[in-house]
Amino acid sequence: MNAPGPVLTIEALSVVRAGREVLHGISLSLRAGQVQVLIGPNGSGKSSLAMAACGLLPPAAGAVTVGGVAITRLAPRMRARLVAYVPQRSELGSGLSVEQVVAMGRFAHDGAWGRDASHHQAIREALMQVDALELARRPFTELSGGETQRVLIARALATSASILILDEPSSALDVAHRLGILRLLRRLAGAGKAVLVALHDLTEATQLADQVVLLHAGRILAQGSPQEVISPGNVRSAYGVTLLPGAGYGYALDGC
Amino acid sequence: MRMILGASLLLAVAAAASLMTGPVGWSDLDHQLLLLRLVRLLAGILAGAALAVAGVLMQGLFRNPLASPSVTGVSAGAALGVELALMGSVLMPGLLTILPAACLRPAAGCAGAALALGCLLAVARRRGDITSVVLLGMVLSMLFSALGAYLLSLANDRWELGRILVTFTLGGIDTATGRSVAVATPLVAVALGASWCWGRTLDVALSGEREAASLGVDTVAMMRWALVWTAVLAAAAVTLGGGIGFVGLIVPNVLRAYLGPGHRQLIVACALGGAAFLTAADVCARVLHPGPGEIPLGAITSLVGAPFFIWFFTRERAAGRL
Repeated sequence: MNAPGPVLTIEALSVVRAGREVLHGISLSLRAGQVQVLIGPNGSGKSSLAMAACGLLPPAAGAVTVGGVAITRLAPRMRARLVAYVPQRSELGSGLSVEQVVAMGRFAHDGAWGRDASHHQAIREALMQVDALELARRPFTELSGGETQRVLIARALATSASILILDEPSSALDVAHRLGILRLLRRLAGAGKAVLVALHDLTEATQLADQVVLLHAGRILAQGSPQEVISPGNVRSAYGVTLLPGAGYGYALDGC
Repeated sequence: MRMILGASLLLAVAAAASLMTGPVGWSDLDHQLLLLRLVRLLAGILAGAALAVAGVLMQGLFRNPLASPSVTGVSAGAALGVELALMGSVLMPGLLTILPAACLRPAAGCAGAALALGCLLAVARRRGDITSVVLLGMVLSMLFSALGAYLLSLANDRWELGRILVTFTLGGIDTATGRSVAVATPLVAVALGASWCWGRTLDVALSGEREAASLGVDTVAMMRWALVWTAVLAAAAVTLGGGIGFVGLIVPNVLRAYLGPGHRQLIVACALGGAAFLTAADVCARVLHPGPGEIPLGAITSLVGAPFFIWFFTRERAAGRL
């Protein structure tokens, strides 16, 4: 059986932010049911690539296409129905309940006067998918880090988009919550979502990814299976650290 | 719903008090006087609703509860526009052949408000931090007020013109005419309806510009239209009532504490609450003055608003929200 075609394609993408080119000639493609992980040191361009893939940063050159259509040509609502973005942290202030936050995900489906008929059901299902139904009435700002991330993922799921793009969703979480988020992303890919996620932790990347893209200084240093990409040579080139042999992805501390 | 009913009830009470308050008692009121009081009441309702909803739009847009048409220089910009129109219509009567006075003032007010908002928007886009925007707003407010003061000093050479400008600057709806109310009514009605339509978009915008864009908000269109409707509301309010401050700060913040941040119901409640607040303040302006005459309406709202602003700023600062 043939593998499904790519749902999101990035071709020779360059992005300029604040007058500086932060991404140079990036190309990758993402398929339904696949988890692709972006790794790389701080400032390598992971967040910029995640945002550009959602159409939140305009390309200086190249293109991001969804189902063959350039993402920049899609109307904002249509784009939100196709690609959902989960930020590293939300700027949401106080006063909103979890249910209201997740309901934002239905904005792209709302009519001018009323809600889509499936509004409440979609919110409920999104909360159930991330095991957060019991949080629905809680104030969003009173959630723990892990709960906050689950709710932000639920908001992305409420958009019903088939492509999920997440920017370091586990960076501020303890190990149990991080594993919870990774399991959730795997489950979502199993349900047919295409997942592109930026991560810092190489062990997590190995556990989660079907494909890994290693970025360095805004360029792709390597891409392929986790075993191919997270090699001692690539890690030294990108991060300047040495992987400890036989210790998973533990790193040697220089001078120790 | 309970809050909206409460605001409606307050408005009904304030409206009844407004119609009955004045040097001539209710039983001696003739048709002409009743009509004058009705015009004044309608001007208060329109100006109060417009200022409060303009406050909701600005606070939603800038995601800052301290934003309001008066704090961000929008009201001062609109006032400067109207002052220029007032001077122009006296010094260059030919202007009135192009545009009647009842239309010239709101048009000039819109232009002044749009100028202030354009400056704010430019800074908001370049710097992105709310503190810069609020600080610029205060600077603009002072700048436009200073220019208004300069116009006032020029106008003093002509007694009648000086008197018109002083009355306008102090704020009050006693000078509103049937024609100005007739011009302002559709402006305010359309702007209130449009603001309500943008309510859900502003809800999503609470998550910040980038997140809102990812959820399907056309952030550029939202900013542009929110600013347009704010300018229309502020200009209509200033045209009707002159320099009335703080309504857009007090009413939305008090009602938001009970209703939460959802913009659609907040806009409805603030339209009613703002109308009730300004009508009640206008009654106070009439009854609290010892002897004949009135306290300027702008002074009443500022006397309530300034301590509220300090209390609110301190509370928000302590809570780490500012």
